Amino acid sequence: MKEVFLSNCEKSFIQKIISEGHRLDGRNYNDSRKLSITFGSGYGSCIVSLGETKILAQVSCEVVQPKQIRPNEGILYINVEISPMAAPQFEANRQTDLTVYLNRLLEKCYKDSKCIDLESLCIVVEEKVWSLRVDIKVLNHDGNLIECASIATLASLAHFKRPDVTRSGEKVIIHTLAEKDPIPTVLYHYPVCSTFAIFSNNILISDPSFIEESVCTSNSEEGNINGGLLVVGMNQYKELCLLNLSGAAIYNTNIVHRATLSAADKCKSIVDLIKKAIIDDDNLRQKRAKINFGDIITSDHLQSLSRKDLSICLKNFDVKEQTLQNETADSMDVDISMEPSKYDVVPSLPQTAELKAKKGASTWIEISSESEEED
Amino acid sequence: MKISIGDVVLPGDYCEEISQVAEKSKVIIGPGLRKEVDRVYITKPGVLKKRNPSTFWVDSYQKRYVPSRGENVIGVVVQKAGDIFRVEVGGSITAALSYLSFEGATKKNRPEVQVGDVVYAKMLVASKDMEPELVCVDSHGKKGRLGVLSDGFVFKCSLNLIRKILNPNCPLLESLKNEWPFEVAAGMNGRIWIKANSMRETIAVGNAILGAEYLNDEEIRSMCNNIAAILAGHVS
Repeated sequence: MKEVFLSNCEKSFIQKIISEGHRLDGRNYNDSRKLSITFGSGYGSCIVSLGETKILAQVSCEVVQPKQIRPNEGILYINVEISPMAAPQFEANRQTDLTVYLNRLLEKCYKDSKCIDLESLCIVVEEKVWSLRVDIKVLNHDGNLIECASIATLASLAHFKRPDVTRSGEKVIIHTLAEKDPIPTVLYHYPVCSTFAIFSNNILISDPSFIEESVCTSNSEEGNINGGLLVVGMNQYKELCLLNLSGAAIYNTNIVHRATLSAADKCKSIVDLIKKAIIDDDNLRQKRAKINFGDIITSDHLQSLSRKDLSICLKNFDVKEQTLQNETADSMDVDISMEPSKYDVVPSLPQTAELKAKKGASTWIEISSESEEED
Repeated sequence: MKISIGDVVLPGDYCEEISQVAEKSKVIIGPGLRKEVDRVYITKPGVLKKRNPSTFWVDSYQKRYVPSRGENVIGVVVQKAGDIFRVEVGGSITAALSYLSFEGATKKNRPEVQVGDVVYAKMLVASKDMEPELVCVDSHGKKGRLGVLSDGFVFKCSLNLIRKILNPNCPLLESLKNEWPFEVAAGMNGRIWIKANSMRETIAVGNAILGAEYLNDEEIRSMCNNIAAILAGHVS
């Protein structure tokens, strides 16, 4: 993997603005980027995008022999792939540290937490079980891959339906989707991971973007890493499923506590979003509507393939305000009914003019009362 | 299908108009066009443009930089090796910047450049067969605006945006220059360096530049006013 080089000025700038309470793209410390979940035409495929980070997950199943130590349980495999499509520093077909890290975290979150009922995947004890395989492909890397990958895994597992099976004596019949309705996976609980970047002075940033992640885990001038990334996995019942820290060691337990509190609300809302998306998708499929990934690509528009939010943004800057302002400006030109000015411009000294209030008007110059308050 | 100036073209199309003009006078073909035998083929998707007299090129959206001679670029020093600095400019390989290519540098007097510094340099040598070379002085040995850029913030954008804001007709820098003091350096490799007095002002300039990519002149002016208003509302 080619190293991405971070310049000194980027590092010091990001650390400075974060310590002053701002973020590069105008979000608050605990704001997340826009999350959108789109399902594909087959069961179990979905694309999740968190800001510009995009991940595709696909669940497939096949009948295999179960493991010797667990003869009545199905098997779950999780496989993560990062190709040069995600970012230019990745090499094709090469397992990097990042891939192994993602793989391990997702296994901890979904296999070790026993969120899937593996016993329901059993067909014939000791002989045939379903093996579910989740393939995760990173389409674009703009920071916070873990959160996006975990949402993609969860959404695709919850969306997936396996073929129905009937046993008659010795025979086992696997029905096609046309013969019998497929069966959804049984999930006991819905765990989701949430990432926090820890900067010096115990500042917690949720949903770090690529540059924030890089600065956080980079070497400072002394040569050691000052910050770290904390991954908290929780389910909708606010139970902790996963805790992982990379980077500098935390010497303040308060950070973990704050992170878990913040993650609890966030994970619950994400799980609600996933469930709602699945219900909506179900309704559409019952009406036999065609669903495919093509819906997330908007064509015939100049900016259809560009990023929707600016990567560098002031806190209150709104892109849509631009067009709104233009429209109001146009409409104002149409009906010109300006209120008469309360002030006269009067020449006083040579080459100087003065604002003099007309009779009856106050001499205080009015300032717009819309001054916004600092948070 | 006949291709004319101002059309959206795809690689593989060929423009007869250029061949016709070439019979009468000298024609300059720019990026995105290539002469094969007797025809001029289009090699990049975009809009075919012409400038008088008889200069043709294709305007295409591009983020990946291909080093070319004479351009000012912003690079990050990644390594010190022997007599040169290795500078990453976003091309396929790192560029070389000699120790002696700084103003007032001699063998005994080395320039103060550290790994991780941002430099504004000019491409001296750039071809597809050799590693690119940069210099931080002009041909008279004067520094000019080149050299190490200290503090500030550097970010990436598309090459089209750089060309757009460097165009003298673009109102972006004109609208911003009266609002608050700042320094900006635009490298033709798709990188911009900004420095202002406070970090909010730096972010505001970055916001204005990135936001101007798809706006026309009027909209750019109103966006700059909007940004100045937001900044003035929170003087911190």
